[in-house]
Amino acid sequence: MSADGNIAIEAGHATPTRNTVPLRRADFTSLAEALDYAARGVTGANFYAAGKLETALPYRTLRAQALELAQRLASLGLPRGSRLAIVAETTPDFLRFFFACQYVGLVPVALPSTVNLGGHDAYVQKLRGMLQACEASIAVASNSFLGFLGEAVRGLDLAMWGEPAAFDQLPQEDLELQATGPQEIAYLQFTSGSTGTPKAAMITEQALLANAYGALNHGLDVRDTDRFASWLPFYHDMGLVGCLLTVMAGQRSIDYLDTREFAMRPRRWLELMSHGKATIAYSPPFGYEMCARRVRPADIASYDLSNWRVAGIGAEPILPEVPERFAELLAPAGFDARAFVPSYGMAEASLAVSFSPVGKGIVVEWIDPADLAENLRATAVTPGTGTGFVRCGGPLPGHELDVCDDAGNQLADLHVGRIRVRGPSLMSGYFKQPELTAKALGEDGWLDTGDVGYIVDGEVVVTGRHKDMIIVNGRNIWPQDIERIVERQPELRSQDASAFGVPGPNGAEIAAVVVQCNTLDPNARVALVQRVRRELLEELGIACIIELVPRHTLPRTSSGKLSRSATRSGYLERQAQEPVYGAVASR
Amino acid sequence: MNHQDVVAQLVTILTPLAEGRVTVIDGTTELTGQLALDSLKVMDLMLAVEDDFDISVPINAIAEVRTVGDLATQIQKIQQGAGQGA
Repeated sequence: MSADGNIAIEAGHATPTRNTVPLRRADFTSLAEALDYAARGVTGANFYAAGKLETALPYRTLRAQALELAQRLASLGLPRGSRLAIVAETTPDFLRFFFACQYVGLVPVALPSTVNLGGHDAYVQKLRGMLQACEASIAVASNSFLGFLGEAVRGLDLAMWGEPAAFDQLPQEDLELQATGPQEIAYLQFTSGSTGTPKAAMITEQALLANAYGALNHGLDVRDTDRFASWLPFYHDMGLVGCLLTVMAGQRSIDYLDTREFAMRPRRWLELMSHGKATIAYSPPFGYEMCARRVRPADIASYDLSNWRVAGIGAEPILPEVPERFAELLAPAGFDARAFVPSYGMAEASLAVSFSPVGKGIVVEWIDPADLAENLRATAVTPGTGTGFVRCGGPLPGHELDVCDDAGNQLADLHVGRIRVRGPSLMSGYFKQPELTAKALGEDGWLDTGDVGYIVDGEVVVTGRHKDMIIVNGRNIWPQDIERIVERQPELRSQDASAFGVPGPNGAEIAAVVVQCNTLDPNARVALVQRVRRELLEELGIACIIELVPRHTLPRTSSGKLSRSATRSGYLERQAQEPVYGAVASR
Repeated sequence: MNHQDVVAQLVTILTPLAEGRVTVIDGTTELTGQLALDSLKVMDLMLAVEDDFDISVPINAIAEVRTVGDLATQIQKIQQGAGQGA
């Protein structure tokens, strides 16, 4: 890959950290404008596999390629704002298509690139649901995913679908391109909502850039010596916004590692950070935990993590032990625990709405769990006792964050309630979902995050995420999805399953589902459990405790709906009575 | 390496991951329904497969795999350089 500018960019080498143009921290009105500026320098994105640099993509090359592709996409003559959905792998092609959309006024949508064991059909259905939900006009997938995509688009009305190279065959127009403007949609981001009803947040250029501006100036205080590294997938907001768009909007170089390679060999992330002397990287707690669990003690001395000044951590509740263990283990490699920057955010707010102050590390709030559960009060207890929650900083400048009770009354500090946020980073709504939008986004501009927490010293502390949501191995799992999979079994009906999270061995949450059925035949029961377990793994990739109970025994609410919390209490009581049996027999 | 040898080697890899869920693992054992391998354990399995068989398993190869025997067949395909996409 050759550069097209005057300044020599060395082929076969990663793009440098130091740039040749002055740092501008996302003071742009659109991504196209940001890339135009980044293309004047020598920084860019670098893709690694098996510990080796595969492709260095300077922003100037990316811009040239994106402009060329934009002219080809223009030949399709699609209305402005049409959606281009792309199976998001960590490849230069993803960047090329994403930014081509920016130059031609199309809206890119990243689709997941994770297939579970035996999950062919489930993955095709998921892709199809997303393509329909975003009403895609164009769908793109690499050769590895093209077969799945071909099945997913069957019968859908698309202008074009295919692998990236197919789009290079389109005639190149020579039009005056009109890039996506500040008030137009920059991209759609599927949220972590239930997969049964996918919903996509619409983020405008100005919302995204307001967020990037806040992150680079206030949150990270980015300098021209900063370099990023990431293994996060582009179909997650932290990967897309945090580790691509914000990085480019600050003209920083970044080193990418494929998500699957990280999941198999977490040490590659640490090797990459050492090798590139990266200064900023984010991960959900889960990623730090994977490292702590899998890194070989003998390798630690070979890492150099002394340049790592911002270790972002967020996207799921942070158990204080997780970063603590990581820091302890990697201290000999120069990792400084004060590098941890807990943050809080959501796809509906582009990404982060609050960052803990850089250089402060993790600040733990030790809270009395009984007072929290019964009185919704955060009462401090002796450090190391009670329950530990992590402070996630105050809102970005220009943004507001408050905590309300269920009636919408604002609560005082240390009172636990629903977290709301307001400010320029927020989405315009969920694509073609006015009802869901109205539920989340009030007319006064406040977003109801669905998360629960409190405020102390101007910092937000998240004590729980969405009611009912189960977090397994760093992924958000909705009980509705588990129940849907169970209830579609031929011998069951709707309202036969109730799913929830329970504490597993070592404190991590695991999913459980209680199923009522008439079947008494032991073989039929085993077959049912086995089938449900297989389909849960194929579709959601999680192992789940499955307990069968007689019909008409699942507890209901006064309005006749199944009560997940009562089912959960009943399940936990049964477990307490037969601790050994229950745990072994039902899994 | 014939199919039975691959299966035998897979059984060795799978035994610790299965955590005693089934008494005998063979070619017909279901990796999900019976062994309950979640996405993390699948990564452990793939790591062991790549290291032990010295191959690279394409990301889409596992989509068709349900049983130990299916996985053995995929591994043989990759070994013969015939690993085709989805």
